[in-house]
Amino acid sequence: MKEFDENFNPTEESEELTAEAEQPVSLEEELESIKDMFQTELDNAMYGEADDSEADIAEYYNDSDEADGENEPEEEYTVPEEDLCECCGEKERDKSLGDDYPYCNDCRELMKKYPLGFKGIATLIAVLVLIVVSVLYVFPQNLTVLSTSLTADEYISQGKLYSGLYTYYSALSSIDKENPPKKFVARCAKAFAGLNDYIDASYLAETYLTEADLRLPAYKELNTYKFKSESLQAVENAIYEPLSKTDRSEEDIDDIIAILDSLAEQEDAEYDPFYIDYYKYVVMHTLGADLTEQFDKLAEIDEKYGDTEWIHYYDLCNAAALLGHIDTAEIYFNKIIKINAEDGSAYAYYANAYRYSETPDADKMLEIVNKGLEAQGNYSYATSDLYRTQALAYLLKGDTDKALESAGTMYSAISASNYSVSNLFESLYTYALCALAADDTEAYKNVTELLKYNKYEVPDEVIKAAKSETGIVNLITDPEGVLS
Amino acid sequence: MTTLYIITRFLTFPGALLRGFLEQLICRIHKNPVEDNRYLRRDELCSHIEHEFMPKPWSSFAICFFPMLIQLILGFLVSITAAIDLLYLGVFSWPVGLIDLVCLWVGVSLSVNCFPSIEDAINLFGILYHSDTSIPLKILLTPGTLICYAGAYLERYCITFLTSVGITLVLALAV
Repeated sequence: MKEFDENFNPTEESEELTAEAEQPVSLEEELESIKDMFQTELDNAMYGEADDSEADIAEYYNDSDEADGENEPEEEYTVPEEDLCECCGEKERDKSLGDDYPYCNDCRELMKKYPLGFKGIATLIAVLVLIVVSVLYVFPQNLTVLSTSLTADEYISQGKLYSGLYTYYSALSSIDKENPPKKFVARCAKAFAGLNDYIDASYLAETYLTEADLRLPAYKELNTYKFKSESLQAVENAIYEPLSKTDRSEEDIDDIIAILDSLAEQEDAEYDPFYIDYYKYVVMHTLGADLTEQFDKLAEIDEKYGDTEWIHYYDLCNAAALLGHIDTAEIYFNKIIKINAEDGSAYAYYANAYRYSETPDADKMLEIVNKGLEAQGNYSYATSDLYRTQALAYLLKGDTDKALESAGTMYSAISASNYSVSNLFESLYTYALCALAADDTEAYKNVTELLKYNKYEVPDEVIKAAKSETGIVNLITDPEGVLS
Repeated sequence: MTTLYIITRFLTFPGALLRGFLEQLICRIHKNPVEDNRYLRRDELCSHIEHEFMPKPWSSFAICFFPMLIQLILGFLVSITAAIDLLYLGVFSWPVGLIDLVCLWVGVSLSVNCFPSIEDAINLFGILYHSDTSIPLKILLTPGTLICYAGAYLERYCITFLTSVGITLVLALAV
C-alpha cells in the first residue's frame, strides 16, 4: 500500500496503474514460465526427447523482447553531425563505400552527372577552330616554299647537292623579299656553302637577312660564310696582279707566296688561314711547280684543314691522278662523291688516274666516265670534261671515229656554256687531236678558227702526235703535256 | 614548387582547361562521381578535377591515358603549321604570323598539361600491379601506365613546362 504523499497526483497514479495493468506478463508469471521451461528442458535431457525446445526458447525471448519494446516510448532517429553528407549536409553518409566516404548516395548519384564545365567546352571548341584555321588558311600560305624546301632537303640528304641547290634556288625568285622565310634562305645559303660557293652564300645572307637576324644563333653560320667569302676575295685580289703577268715563271712562286704570308700577318684584318694556304698551292699549280711538290703541299693542307674543308679534294684527286697514283686518287674521289654524288668532275679526275698510270687502262676510263655521266644527271658542269676524257680513252683504244664523236659532244657542251675559251685549251686541243686522228678536216677547221679568233693556235706537239698511234698515246699519257 | 606549378598551369591555361575537361568527360563516360570540376584552381589539383578514384584498371587507365593522348594529338595538329612557319621556314607575316604564335602557344600548353595527376597515376599503378588484374591486361597497359606515371611526376615538378618551352626555343633558335 502506498504511503501518503502530499504531492500525490491522482492523474499520475492513475497512469502508473494503467501502465501496470497494460503489462501482459507479471513478474510471478514470468518466473513461473521460466521454471516450467527449465523443468521441460530437464525432462528432455533426462528422457532424450529433443523436440523443438530451442525454437521455444527463441520464441519465448522474442515474445519477451516484443513485450519489453512495447513498454519503451518510440524516439525519432537523428543522424549524428559527423555522419552527415559533406555535400548536402542533410542525409547520412553512404558508409557502404567506406567509413570515411563523405557523401550520401543521392549526392553521389548527382556527382556522376556533374555538369561539364563551360570553360572546358569553350577551350575544346577554340582548339578545334584553331586547327581548322591553321590547316585551311595558314598552311596554304607557305605551301610552295615548304614543298620546295622539303624536296631540296631530301636531295641534300641523299648527297645530291646540285639538285638540292637548284631546287632551293628555283624557289628564291617567288618568295617575298620584304618578308622572306629566313630559315629557308639560310638553308639555301648553306647549300651554296656546301659546294664551297661562299660568295653566293654570303650574298644571299646579306640580301635577305638583317644584321639583327645574323646575330641570332640560328643564323650564326651565315656569318662564317661572310668571313670566308671576304677572305677568299681578299686572297684572290692580292695575288691576281702577279699571277696575271704574261712573263710569270716558276721563280715568282716565292714572291707571290710572300704576299699571301703578309696577308696572314696583317693586324687590321683577319682572313681565313685555309684560303691563304690553299692559294699557295694554287700559285704553285698555276706557275707550274713540280707535281710532287704540288701533291705534298695539298697533303699538308689536307692534314691541317681536312676535317672542315674539302675544296682541295679535287686538287688532291687530280694531282694523284697526274702522278698515276690510282689508290690515292680513288680515296679522294670517294670523299668527293660522298659529299656530292652528282659531281661529274670527280669522275673525270679519277678516270685520269688510269690514263696516267704505268699501264693506261682505256676500258676502265670509259667505265668511270659513263658512271660520271649517269651520276651528274642534268647538271652539266663536268659534261665537257667527261666527254673529253671519253674521247681520250677512245683514242687510247685506237677508235678515232668514236673519239671524234665524243670530242664533238664535248665541243657542243663548251659552246652551250659561257666558259671562257682561255680556260679550255686542253679541251680544244683534244678536239683538234681527234679531228686530225680521224682525218676530219671540217672539224679541225672549226677548232682552229675558234682558237685563231682568240689569238691561239693548235700546238705543234698535237699536230706531230696525231701522225702516229704511238705519238697519240704518248701525248695523252704525258702528265705534263699540252693535253694534261 | 606548388606555386611554380600553379603559375605554369595558368600560363598554359588552354591546356589546363582542356585536361580538366577531358578528365571530367572520361569520368562521365565511366559514371565516376566528380567532386569538383574547377579546372583552374590554386592548389596542386590545378588542371585536374577532383573525382573519386576509378575502381577498375581499364577506367583508371582511361582517365590517365586518353586525355594525354588527345592533348598530344590536338597539340600536334594545332602547332604543326605554326612550327613549320616559325621554326622551319622562319617566316613571320601579318596576320598569319599572329595566328601562328597563338597556335604555337596553344600547342605547347596542350603538351605541357598532357599528363595525369600524381594521385591518378599512383591509383592506376596500384590497381594494375597490386590487384587481381589479368596478366594480358597488365602487359597491354604497362607502356601507357609507365608513361603516365613518369609524366605525372615530371608535370608536378614543372619539367614538362621546361622541356616543352625549351624544345620550342631550341627549335626556334637552332633549326
